[in-house]
Amino acid sequence: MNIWKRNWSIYVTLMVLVPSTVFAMSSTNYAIEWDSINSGGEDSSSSTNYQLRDTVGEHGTGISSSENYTLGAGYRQGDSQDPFLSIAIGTQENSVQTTWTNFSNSTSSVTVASAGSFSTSDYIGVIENRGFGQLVAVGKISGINGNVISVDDWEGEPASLSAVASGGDDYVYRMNGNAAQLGVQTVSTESTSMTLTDIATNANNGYTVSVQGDTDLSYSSVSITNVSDGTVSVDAEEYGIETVGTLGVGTGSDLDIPTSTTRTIQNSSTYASEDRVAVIYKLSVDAVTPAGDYTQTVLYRVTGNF
Amino acid sequence: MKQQLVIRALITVAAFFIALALIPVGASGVTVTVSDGSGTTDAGSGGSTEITTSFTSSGLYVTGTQMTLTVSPASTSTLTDCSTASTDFGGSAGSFGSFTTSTAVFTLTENVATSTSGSLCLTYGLTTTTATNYSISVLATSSTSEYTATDFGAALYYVLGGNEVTVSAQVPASLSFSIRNSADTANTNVCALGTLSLSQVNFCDYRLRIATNAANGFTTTLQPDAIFNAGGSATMTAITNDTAFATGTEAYGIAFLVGATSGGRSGVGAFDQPVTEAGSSVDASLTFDADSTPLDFTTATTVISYTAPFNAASAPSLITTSRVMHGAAIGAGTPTGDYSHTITYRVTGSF
Repeated sequence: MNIWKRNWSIYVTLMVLVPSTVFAMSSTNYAIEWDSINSGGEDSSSSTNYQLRDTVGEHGTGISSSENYTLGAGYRQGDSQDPFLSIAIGTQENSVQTTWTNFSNSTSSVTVASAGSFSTSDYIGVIENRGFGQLVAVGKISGINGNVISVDDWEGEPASLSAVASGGDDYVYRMNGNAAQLGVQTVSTESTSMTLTDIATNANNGYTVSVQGDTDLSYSSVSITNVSDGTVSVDAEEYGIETVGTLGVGTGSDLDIPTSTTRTIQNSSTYASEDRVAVIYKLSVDAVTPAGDYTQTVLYRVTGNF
Repeated sequence: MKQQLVIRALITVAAFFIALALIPVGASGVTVTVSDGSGTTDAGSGGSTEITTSFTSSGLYVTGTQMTLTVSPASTSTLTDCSTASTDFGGSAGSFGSFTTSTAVFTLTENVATSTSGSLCLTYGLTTTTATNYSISVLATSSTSEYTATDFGAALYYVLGGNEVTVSAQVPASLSFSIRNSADTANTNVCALGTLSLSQVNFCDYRLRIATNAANGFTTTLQPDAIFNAGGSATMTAITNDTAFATGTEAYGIAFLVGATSGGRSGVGAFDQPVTEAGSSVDASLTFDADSTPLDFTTATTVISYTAPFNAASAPSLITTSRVMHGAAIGAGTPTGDYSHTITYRVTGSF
């Protein structure tokens, strides 16, 4: 009798240690790719900006590997194979602009003169010392309390911005547009416009974002001279972009936008959620830059490295 | 009893290892590309669009393998086969089914070898009103009794400029013109030949300072209001084109016109090109250049031009301004009097 009791105890213990068992089962018309025995879960929880699929009561979940095999333990390993990839692009809206007085990287916030034109979930860009040497930070609004705008996170170069604006040329722009409007040009003016990218993907090996122009910045058959020496200089006719952010490529220099090839501006070697960089368009003209209405379409492309 | 204990233990252990063995292995990310009928991914205008999705299998796909294509956001209509339906993947037969507005499943009826490249075409209903980036993902699951392998990947198809930023800038037109003294140090509108005598030829000169950012340059004309005259009926004989003035021989006209030798925008953006000295549009035999030209007409004629922006350097500049010299000589029979006429210069920019 004691031996029987001991045997049953061993059998029950082993069952407890293997709570999740994965089978691929099928019938004539249906297949169950995977399942598990657990305490419950939900596939369709959601909020305004997020969806949640969860499982409760599993043990020892996660990724393990040996030389020749990878083990994905847990019910949601099957979910995680659904690949996704997305890019959002937002440009500086010159008509939605306010000045700022205080900036905080640690609390992800900025105090503005007026927050009336901004809403939660808007993208915003903060500029200090607008011009070719401007410092920038971008983010998505998570809350507004009076004139204090909070974002989910700052990207760009937030650690370099001053806590207190020096005044005169420090602005916050809403960045929900799709056009980089550099405006009417005059000699000795440093014209800039900012764009941000926002990447999400579950590609384990990350992603790459590149840009390509359909043409040079041009009017009829005339093109603005592209920057070639790493710096767009005032009073010279030059045009280029600067990428700013921890995931930016080629940061620290002004670079041209190629038309027959692509230029990588952002990449990561792992999956992404709200990966952002700021792209600053810079233009300077001289006294004899041909008159005209110049345009260029810049194509942003993202490749997931699954 | 002991044998029963051993059997139960073996069964228990076997169950444990079977549970581990049934966990999927061989899942692999693959590079997915998409393109429409024009072969692009970012020129989509929406509507009913045939899009080809391509990738390479990372492992063996056995018969029955299902490749699920998913579009997000969902199509505006149920996905369908393309006009030329996909009937194989990399040469291995199969067909699409299970169409919804977001998914379609391609089921193989033959094996697909490892590292086989293939393409599958579906017709999607895409927005025609809103810039959208569509994610097209692939999930290929190959199952046998021994293993399950899954390939997965995704790519984006951009519609109505969903991945575009339009950059714009306006450069205002500018055009400037002034008549300057011969040293280009001050404006002037007088060219005084002075008192003429039988023993010399008199000259006077001035410069034309022109600058413009007109993409197609400028044209300059001159137009005398009358023959060089002393009022009434007394006029001075015009110099013969390209002949020299001679002391004691009555003649009046332009002694020379030397166009700016620099300032014109070149094809590489430098401003180092000379203006073009024109032939007269009044009389093809007349030329405005380094020798004389008569001014015995009252219609406008082109004198200098350029076909791109022109940059007159900061004054004084003797190379980016054009110099005009008038000359006059009298003979014994030249009527006395104060001779004059007005030359009107006009500069037109070609924007």
